[in-house]
Amino acid sequence: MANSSGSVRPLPSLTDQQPVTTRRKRAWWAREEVFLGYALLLPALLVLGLIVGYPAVSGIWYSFHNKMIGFANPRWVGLQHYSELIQNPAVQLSIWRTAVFAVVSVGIKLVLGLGVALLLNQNFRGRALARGVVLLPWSLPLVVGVLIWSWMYSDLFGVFNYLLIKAGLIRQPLNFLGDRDLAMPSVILVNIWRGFPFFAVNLLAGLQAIPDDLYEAGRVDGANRWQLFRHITLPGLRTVILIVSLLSFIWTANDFTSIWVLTRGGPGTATEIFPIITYKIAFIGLELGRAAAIPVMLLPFFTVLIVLLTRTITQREAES
Amino acid sequence: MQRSYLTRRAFLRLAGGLSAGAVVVACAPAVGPGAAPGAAPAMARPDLVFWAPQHFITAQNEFFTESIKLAAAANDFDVDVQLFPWGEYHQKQNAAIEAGTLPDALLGVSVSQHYAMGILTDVSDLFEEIAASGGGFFEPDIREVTIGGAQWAIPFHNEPQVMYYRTDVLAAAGYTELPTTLEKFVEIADAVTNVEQRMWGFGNPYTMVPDGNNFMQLVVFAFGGQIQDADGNVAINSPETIAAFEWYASLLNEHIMMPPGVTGWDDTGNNKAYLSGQVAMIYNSGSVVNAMRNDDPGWFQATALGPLPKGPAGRYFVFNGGSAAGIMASSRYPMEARRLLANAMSPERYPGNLAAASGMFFPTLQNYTDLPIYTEDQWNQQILDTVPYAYVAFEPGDPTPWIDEVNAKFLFAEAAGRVAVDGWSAADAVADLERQAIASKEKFEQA
Repeated sequence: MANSSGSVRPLPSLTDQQPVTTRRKRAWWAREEVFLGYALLLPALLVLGLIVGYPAVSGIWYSFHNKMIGFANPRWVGLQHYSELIQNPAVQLSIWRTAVFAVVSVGIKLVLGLGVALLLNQNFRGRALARGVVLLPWSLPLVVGVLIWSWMYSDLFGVFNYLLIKAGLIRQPLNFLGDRDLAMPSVILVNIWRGFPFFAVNLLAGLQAIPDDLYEAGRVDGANRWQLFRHITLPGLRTVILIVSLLSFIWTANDFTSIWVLTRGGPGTATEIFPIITYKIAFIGLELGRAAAIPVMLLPFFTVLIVLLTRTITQREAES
Repeated sequence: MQRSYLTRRAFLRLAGGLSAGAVVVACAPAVGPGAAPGAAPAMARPDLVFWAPQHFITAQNEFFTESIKLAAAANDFDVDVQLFPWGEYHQKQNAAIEAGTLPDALLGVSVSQHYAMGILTDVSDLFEEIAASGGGFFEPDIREVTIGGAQWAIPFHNEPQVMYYRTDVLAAAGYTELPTTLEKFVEIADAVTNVEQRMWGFGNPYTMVPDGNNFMQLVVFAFGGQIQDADGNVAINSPETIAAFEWYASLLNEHIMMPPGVTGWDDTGNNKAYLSGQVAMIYNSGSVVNAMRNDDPGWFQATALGPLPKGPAGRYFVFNGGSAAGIMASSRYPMEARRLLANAMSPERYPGNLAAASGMFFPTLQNYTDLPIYTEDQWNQQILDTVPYAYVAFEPGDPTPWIDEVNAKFLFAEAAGRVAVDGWSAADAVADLERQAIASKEKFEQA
């Protein structure tokens, strides 16, 4: 090929050739799949923001206002509700009771659930039926189950008092739900009854995920039953135990229905945990702002629990 | 290699575009005939929502619902009648008030609170119309719904709560007359109490439930106490009120005339105790009589009813429960809602409703006291005879929202429990009750 000067320009080699752009250069955001990914997440984020974020932000906003149900123009009060509630003995006691209720209940549910899971993990006739029966408290509608317990506790007709009197253990009926000393243990027992199947089923699943080889190896090394449990079963269940305990703690601390149906927080305030006192302040006392400050006050604590739970789940996923 | 026409990138782009489109469409305002916000549909058939409490007696619930629906049908509009259990009805209303999802009309309003919130409409004209057709409302019922000279609700039914007596048990202990004073009441209750035989003289919930609260308040009135004075000031803390709390605590702790379980009873505890023959006297509405009509435990005929015996105040008292219906200010169909209430309380429908309630409901209108449901039934007549002793919690002052709240919070029952169960002195418990009442009053004044 000759040019105007008559010299011949060599053809560019393939290696020297610049890439030929056949399409118009796209914007950065169109090239980035990340953006598209976020766009796809947007609907889910919007739904989450609407059903989780909005109520949460509203609650926090209310907690800084003197907002009464049915009355317009909430008044900004800053941290007044918080300072009042922190000094309020009734609220302090309700938080203490919540801790007692949740810790004792979760602790017993864990031990009971583990025991039942270990039993159900054995081979025996009717195992499938037993596994189904264990789930009954969990599958019964909550209010129905709790009402049955309230009848069983009754001083007038309750089966517990009937049996105790018949057995000669007591002369007068015990006032399970009306006695200050018995009311909290009584509502804890109902919560345990309701919640232990959750532990049992999850721990059973955890037990079945532990390879038999480990037990075989342990036996070959001469480990006894306790040592097998201590060094193989418990470590194998550690993550499951942590997850179900954290979840159960959050649910138990927020258990409104069973206590409301059984005692409404009574006698006096003996079983008034924080969801109950919050409900009373909000829907009976009409003080939405003051009531909102109680759960918001506890939000950091529950956030820590939730972060811990999420990390544990993520770790478990990574391990598996 | 076969070429794919739908690459991963293209698929993602398409999905992203569709999602974004869906969000845009979902956020777009509704377009269509009659969709203008805040305006009643020009030609649409009115469609009302009516809330009412669900009572024990199914026939009453059905008759009432039918009355409302018939009124709608006769006036060419639709109505959805929704019934809710009493226990959570107040809270349900509060949630709806805040959410702005109130019905058009509501039976079971808290007149003074709802008036203070501005959610009620003035129904004085309807009140006059119904009063004229029914011989006028009873005086306590008028007072319950009148604020500032106008009526803000229609008194629908009275539900006096009375004393029940097992006359056979009383007779066996040598008492053939019902007690007319609280002193005599205690004497009889002591005499009939036999713990070994599981028979107690009296049973009432010592818990924060309506029967627990109402009875305690009744005792305070019987002792000459009050909640507010004529000027609307909180007037709970008085020697009379303190004496009332001491007296009530003594029934549980000194006389041991109540089952120990009363401190854990729910609102039906006294019903169950009486129906199972374990207490000789209770305080309740007509619901226990009704239960005995259907399923006589063996002492229905031996049951007598009356007001609370006289205390130091020197007069009988009866707590006059019941309900009133209001029309919501937010209703788009207030005139239609008026027709619903007018029909439910018309001479054609109201007596039927009272009859369907079978002794649970008593009239607010004076024309209906001689219905056969009352005159031909000794127990209903006994309850009706207590109506003159009805008191209103706010007397001698005017209806006020803070007294509604004191009762909604069951503060009288709470204070009673503090004295009898927690060991507070009556003076301290009453002082705390007054402090809470003052806080409530100030709260409403500042709202």
